[in-house]
Order: sequence, then C-alpha cells, then structure tokens
Amino acid sequence: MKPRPFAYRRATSVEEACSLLAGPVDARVIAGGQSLVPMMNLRLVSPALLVDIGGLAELQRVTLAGDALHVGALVRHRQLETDLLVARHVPLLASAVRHVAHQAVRNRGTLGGSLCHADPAAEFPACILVLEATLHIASSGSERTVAAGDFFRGMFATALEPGEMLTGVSIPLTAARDPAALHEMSRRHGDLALAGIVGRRGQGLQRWAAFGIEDRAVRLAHLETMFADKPQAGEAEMLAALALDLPSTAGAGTAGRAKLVIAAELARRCRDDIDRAGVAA
Amino acid sequence: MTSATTKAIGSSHRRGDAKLFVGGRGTYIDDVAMPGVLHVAFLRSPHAHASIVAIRTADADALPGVVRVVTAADLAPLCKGWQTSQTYPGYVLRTQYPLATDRVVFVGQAVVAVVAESRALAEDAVELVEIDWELLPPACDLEGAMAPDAARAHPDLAGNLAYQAEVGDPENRALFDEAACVVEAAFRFNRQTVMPMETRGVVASYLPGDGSLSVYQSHTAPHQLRSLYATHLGLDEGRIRVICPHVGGSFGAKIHLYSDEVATVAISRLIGRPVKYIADRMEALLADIHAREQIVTAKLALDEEGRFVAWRAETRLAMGAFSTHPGSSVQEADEAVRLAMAPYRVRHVGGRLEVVFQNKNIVGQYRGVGHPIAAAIGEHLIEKAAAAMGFDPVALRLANYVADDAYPVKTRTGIDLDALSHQACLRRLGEIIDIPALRAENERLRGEGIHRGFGIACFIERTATNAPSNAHIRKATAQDGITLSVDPSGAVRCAISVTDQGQGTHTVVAQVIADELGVPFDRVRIVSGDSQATPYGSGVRASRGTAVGGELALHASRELRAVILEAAAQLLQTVAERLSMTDGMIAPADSEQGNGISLADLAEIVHFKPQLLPRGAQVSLSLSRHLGHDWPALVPTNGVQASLVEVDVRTGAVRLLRHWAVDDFGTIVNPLLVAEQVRGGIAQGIGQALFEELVYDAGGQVQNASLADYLVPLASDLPDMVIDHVETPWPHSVLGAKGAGEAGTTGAVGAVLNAVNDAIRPLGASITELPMTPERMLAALNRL
Repeated sequence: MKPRPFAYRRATSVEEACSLLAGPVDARVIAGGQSLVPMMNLRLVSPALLVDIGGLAELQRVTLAGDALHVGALVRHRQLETDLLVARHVPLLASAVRHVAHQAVRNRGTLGGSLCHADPAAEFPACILVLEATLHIASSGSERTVAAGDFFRGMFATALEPGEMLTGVSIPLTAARDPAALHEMSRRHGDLALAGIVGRRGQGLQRWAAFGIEDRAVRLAHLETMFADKPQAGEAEMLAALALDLPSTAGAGTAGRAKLVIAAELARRCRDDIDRAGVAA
Repeated sequence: MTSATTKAIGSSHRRGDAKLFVGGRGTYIDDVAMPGVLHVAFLRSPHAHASIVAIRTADADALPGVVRVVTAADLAPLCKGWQTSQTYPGYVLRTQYPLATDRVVFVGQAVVAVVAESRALAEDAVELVEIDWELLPPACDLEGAMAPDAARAHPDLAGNLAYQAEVGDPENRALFDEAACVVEAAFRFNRQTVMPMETRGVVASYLPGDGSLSVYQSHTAPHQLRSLYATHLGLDEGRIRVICPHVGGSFGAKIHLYSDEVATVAISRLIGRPVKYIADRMEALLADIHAREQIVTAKLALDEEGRFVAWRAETRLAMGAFSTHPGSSVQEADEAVRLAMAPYRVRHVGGRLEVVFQNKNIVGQYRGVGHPIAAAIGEHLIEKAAAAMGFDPVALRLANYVADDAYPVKTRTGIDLDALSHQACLRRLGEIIDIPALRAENERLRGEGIHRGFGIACFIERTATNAPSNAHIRKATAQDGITLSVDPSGAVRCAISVTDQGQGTHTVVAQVIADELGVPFDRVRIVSGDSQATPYGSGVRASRGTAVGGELALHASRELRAVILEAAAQLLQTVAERLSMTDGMIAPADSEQGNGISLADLAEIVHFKPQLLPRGAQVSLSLSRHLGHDWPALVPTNGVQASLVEVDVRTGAVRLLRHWAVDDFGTIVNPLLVAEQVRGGIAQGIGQALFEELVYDAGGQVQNASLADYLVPLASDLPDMVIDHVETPWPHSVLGAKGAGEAGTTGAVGAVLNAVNDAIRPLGASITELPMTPERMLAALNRL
C-alpha cells in the first residue's frame, strides 16, 4: 500500500496550478487528500504529478455575491459545518455535512475535492444538483462555468477537462432558502451512503436527487413530477417513480430492489421534513 | 496467605503501558529497526484457482533498489513445507509452502516475494513481475461443495471433503417425530476476518557467520514460533531467538503461522541479510485468517412441559484451501457442534460436522472459536420454541439448565464441565434488568409502530488451553513457565511464558505477584515475548493469560516468599513462620513494623554482603516454576448476555439500544481489564451479528478488501453495555481464575440475533443469516 512514484508541486496561484495541470504529465489536484491519497496508496490512481492547491487562500472563502452564495473549492467540510453564512443561507449543506465521515476527515476534506472526486455515494454532488448550483472552472488563462446538472458524468467522472480545476460553487440564494431535506442510510455512522435522497420544494417546483444508488448522483425527474402532482404520494407510487428514475438499480435483483425500498422511505422522510419546514415558514 | 492490608488482586489497576501506547511510544513490529534491513513485498494471487505456467522476473530484478526476486523454487531447498500440527483421524491435509509452487488456490496467496531497499520499491517491482496463468475452475460454493460435479479446490483430491465427524448421540428421528414441539432452523454464518489494529509483521535476521536467527514477529507465542522455524527451516532451535514486541491485538489472528511469515524468515536465511515484512491492510483482509463461514441446520425437540428432549446440529465449514497451522481449522466447526446446548439437560444431543476445502483463504481460530455459533444456534431455537409453545424464554431456560450445584458433569458430546453457574447468572441478569417491564414497554411501543426486541443468549466456553488434552497439537501448547527474581534494589523481575497482546496480561500477573509475594505493585516488572529471556511456554491464546499466567505467578510467588522469609528470619533471629511480608516490608506478624527489614535491605545483603548471613548455601532470590500436566487442560466458563434493539422495518436498519453481560470468570484479578475484554468482545460479536462480512463472488474474488467496505463496528455504532459478574472460583486451581477474553464475542452474536428476531417475530418474520444487513432484513420482512 505505497503509492507509485509521483512528483509534487505546491501551487501559489490558481494560474500556476492550472499551468501545472496543463503540462505534459498526468497531473491531479490535491486539496484535502481524503479520497485521493488512499486511492493512490491502493495504486488505483497514480498521477505523475500532484498539484497541491492547499495554499490558495482565495479558494478558502465563503462569500455572498449578489443573489448567490459563493463557496470556494477549498472550503473544508468542517468549515461548512460551522460557517454562519452557510448556516443562514444554505442550511441544506450545513446539515448534509454531518453525514460526511467523521470530524478528522471533515477537518481536511474540501467541498471542491468531494465534487471533483464524484464518488457516487457522496452527499454534496446530490445537494448541488437540487440546489441548481453553478460550478466555476478555471484553466490556464480562462474560466468557464458549468451547471451542476452537467458536471457529473459517471463514477468518479466529471466535466473537468485536462488542465482545468474547480475554483468554487455558486449557490442561488432563492433555491437555497427553499425548504429542503436530506436523508441517507449508511451501515455505520459516517460511512458512504447505502442510499441517499435530497429534496427541495420551491415555488411550484420540485427538485430531487439520489446518491449512493446509481453510478453518480442523479436527478429524479419522475419523482419530481409525481410529488408535483401528488404531494402525499404513498410508498407504491414513490417506488414506481424511483424505478423509472433509477432503471439500472431497479434491474439489479434483490440488492437493487432493497436500495429502491430504502430510497422510497428516505424520500418519504425528506417529503415530511419539507412539509414541516414549509408549515413553519 | 497474604496480609489483608494490601490487595492487588481484585482491584482495577490501570495498565502501566497504556500511556506508552496512547502516546505513540510503544514498540510495535514496524518500529523494530535494524541496520541494513531490506523490505519484502509479495505478489499475491489475483486468481482463486490457477496453474502457474511461467514466472518472468527479469524486469523486476532490473529495477534499481531491488535486491532479489524470490520464487518458490528459491525457497524449496530451505523449507520443506508443512501441514497443520493439530490432526484428527481422517483429516485430509494439503502441504503449504512459503510461496505457491505450481498452483494457486486462493486469491491473496503469496506467489513471488520481492526484496528491495524500501517497501515502496518492492511494491513497484511486484508490478513488474509477469506470470502466465492457466485458470482452473474455482470451488467456492459451500452449499454445492460436495456435489459430484462440483469444482475441486485441489484437483488431486477426489472431492472437497477434508474432514467429517459425528458428535455425541447418533441421530434418533423417533425422538423428533414423537415430540410435543420441534423447532428447527437453517443458519448461515458468513465469512469474516479478525482485524487487529496492528497488522501482522516479521523482521528476520539470519547471520551466516554463526548460523543464528533472530526473528521479531507480531505474534503471541514466541516459543512456539521458535520451534516451528527450527522444524520448517531445518535450523538448530538453540540458535533461534524469537521476540514478540508490543502486539497491537491478535484475537487469534496472531496465534497462527502464515506462509508469508515463513517466506520472510526463509528469505533472510537465503540472502543472509535482515528483512522486514509488514502486512498492509489489504493483505490483512485477504490473507489473515478468516473465520466462521458455516452453514448449519439445527433442531430441538421439547415435551409438553417444555423439557428439552433432543437436539441435533449439522454444520459445514468452509475451511479454505488449507488448514491453519499449527492449530487446525477444524476446531471452529467442532466446538460449534460440541458446545451447542451444553448449558442444558438434554436427553439426546448429537451432531455432525463437515469441513470442506474451498478456493478461499484459510479459516482459523478467531476469538471464541466455534463458541459464538454454538450459542447462537442453541439459544435461537430455545427462544423460537418459547414463542411457539407460549413459554417465557427465561423460565424455559431455568427449567432446563444443568443446576449450578449439579456440577461436575460430562456433556453428551463428551465435554467435561465444572463449576458453572447458569442459574446464578440468569438470576443476576434478572436483577439488573426488569425483563417483564422491558417486554411490556416493547409491546406498548409496537402499538406505535416501533419495533423493539429483547433477546438473551447464554453460553459455555472452553478456555485456558493447556498441554495435556491438546498434546496432539505439536508445539502449539506446552507447559508454561515463570522465573521470578528479586534484584538488589528489592525490585521484582518476572519472566513469564504467557504474553501480552494488548489485553493487560502483564498488569494482571504483576497484581498476583504483588499480593502473593507481598511487594508494592509498582515494584514488579514483567518480561514476556522473548524466547531467550523467558521460560518455554504457549504464550497467550484461548483466554489463558490470567488463568494460567496468574496461577503460575501465584505458585512461584509463594515459593519465593518462603525463601525470602527464611533468609529474613536468619537475620532477624526468628523463624520464618513468625514473619510476613507486606508492601515490601518483612516483619514479625505479631509486632510493630520497626522490628523488621525491608525486602530492599535484605536483597542488598544477599547480593553484596552475604557474609552477614549465616554460613551455608548462598540464598537464591530467584526461582523458576512450571505448570503442565498438573493443570486441568481446559477451563469451562459461562455467562449470559442480553440485547435490546430497534428494527426500522421500513429500511431494514437495526439500531442497538443496550447490551448486558453477566459472566462467571471465577476469581477476577482486575475488574477494569475484564470489563474491557468483555466490551471489546461484545463489539466483535456485534460485528459478526450486524456488520462484518467478507464477500466472495462465485469466482472466488474478494469484493470488499478494504476497511471502507469491510465494516468493523465503530464506537459510534455500539450501544451502552452493562457488565456484571458472578464469581464461582475454578476449584482446581489456587487462584480460581477462568478465561475472560472471549466471552463477550461468544455471547453477543446470539443475543443480538435473538433480539432482532424478537422484534420481527410479531410480523411473522425471522432471520438466521448473519450479518443481518439491511438487505437481508428487508428480505426477511418480505419487503423485497
């Protein structure tokens, strides 16, 4: 369990990081290292160059920018958990982070790292899907934005191109203030989810996503339509909608069936939480 | 006897070494440094079953920093291979070698070793070794293992059956046919592993100059290792020294000898240089012993009054490709069948075990060895019978127990039992839990849709293995020894053959010495785990540290005390019988302290001023004592556990709310350490019940060889535990202590199984496959 040989550079600016990433060798960004380092030790990934962005202070901030909350890619999970702006404006993220591993991991892991790692069972990708966030991506000399719905491409796969890095996420405040809920089931506290559901109910809209079920966090279009039509849908209807939204799981025998049953229950809990939050508001 | 003023025995002395460990200042195997040490990494088989057609090592050899690439052919002249030392009549055995020879038989088997200047370089070189494989059909299906067309784990054998035995009474169908009630169940205990916090490791140094071999190894039995290395490598045992430094947990994983360990030692012999091998966590999951995997069918017949009439259990154990060595893999199945229902009067008890070869890793002796399964199957069927017949499960047990005053007894399966206390333990459990009130509360909550269950499991274990009955385990269990010395300062040195794997044996032995010798606890220092510094013996296994080590310490202390008092009597011009020693002060028992002499002053005189003593033989403040055939071979213990759980019937999640244990460990030397043992044991039993499973696919690939996927329960997953005791001292020793290390694991599995079933039984559901995962729970609840 030793990594293959690699080079290491600590970037002093986003520009420098991007130019290193754009170089000829296979380079990876390292931020908190909570997923990348174990995978390197297992030799599942072996970048030739690690570009450490840990010193880039400009990526460590949470700021209000117009009608969005901007969260830098280097904001640690622990910071999300304790940040007052996050607590006030995006309570969903503040509650989601409590499901992420344990405090030792949360002290190091970063939001950007979690999103770019794109673990299918991670919480944050599903959260930014339902929050309809925008991801800010830098490359040498240019920047672009990608909608959350276009970012996740598969297991550990994202829309990031070689030479690009994520610098932050903008979460629209209108979405962030809607009643929202996250429920997940894991075998042990802090484990990656066996199944997880996130839901948000806005003015005349439903935004739902699942994680820990398919090969990536996925929006649940049929469930959204069903809840829009029938807010108090029962288990059978939720199961039917989820089977359409999660076809590969629905076809995966008893293990897949178990995930759907659990997902339907988690969706019910989210719906009930949202109902309560809506009443309180 | 010892003075009543100081009592170390029975007090919760904290472990003197605990701060050392927590502060990161222990010396574990990877902390052992040696000048010029080289590092070993293994290429392990990616296939469950394959022939090795060719091995090409040129690229690996050429990598800078690589010292030697080693294959089976290199080690063949040095090591003959071995079979288990614990044999049974008819037990089919295959020979194991340090590295696979022409065929691999499980995923993770060591095939090629690379020796390099660093572990990282060795791993780089492992990736450069090329092997041509010819795949063979893997034998991985336990249910179908005996089918005529089943794949064979070893094609040279006619089938996969390695061992079978009938135990106890022969099957008597009439007893079941005519019974008022028969309950039965098919159980599946899935494969798990041990997972000590510190992985296995070896540092070996063979010196060609004088033919001596030093081996540092994370293990619990240095003398056993020394004998085994001498045998397997053909070396003079007298020139081998084995040292077990601080051991970060074993739970059985480190009582065995593994092929990668033999390979490492043989490599040092081959190249004449010190080498180090530390198993990484993935290797631990693939190649440390696995445990438990059995399918069991069992049935219990009762008469109208609820008396147990007949019991039968049949098990099939998935042994893996070889037997463990030196202790055998059979024990897991044998103990399960032999000890099921042992707490009860049952007219007819029988069973059958089958042990089958599989192309999977080896199943060995993990904490509890068969006993958790014995308890789970028996206790599950008792609660099932109680529900079927409308009896209270506590009353049903009380009506069928072997009475506490009826011992000694021999079970129908041939096991000698003595000094057990099922009635007292269950009564005590009833004192610390208001069981009727708890059940009523569960009933009330059920009306609100909250599904709670309460389950009990009582059990018997056989602990403190010693030489006599297991003499057929060559070199695994021996007589044990202790050497006690008083230094000139009055400090007491103890060198003892039982070892400390983190459980606190040293503390317990020091407590016994402090009391029995009459010295302050802090003046006693223990040395163990060094074959050159301690008398020969079996180390620790089977909860023997206190029962055997404590008893040895007691006898040696009393003898040394007599020597000390005799010498002091000559100085004080009195007779030894009038003297006693307390806290290191020797004084007439019936007068003021000032009239005596301290042990330090006496030791000073004995060492440096012997002329002050009367002429005669030099006083010897050091002696050795041994314990072997004069010690009963296995010490039975008993206990009862209870579990309260809540089942989320919507998701299949099981939440542990509370856990209770009442054990009879005989004399308790250190209540704190015993409670730690019980709690840790319960955690591992809960692991088996709810979390831990090594998943092999049909092709013999391990699906979850990382701690992200192999789920060991964490502190946050565990319930509060209430630990209590009944003390029935073991009547065949002076100390009276019994084994305490495994009871937690043994009882917890059945208790949680019963609690979960109690919660879902009103829904018409039952579950008998472990671990009880959400998916299995949902299936049991008919939700899939």
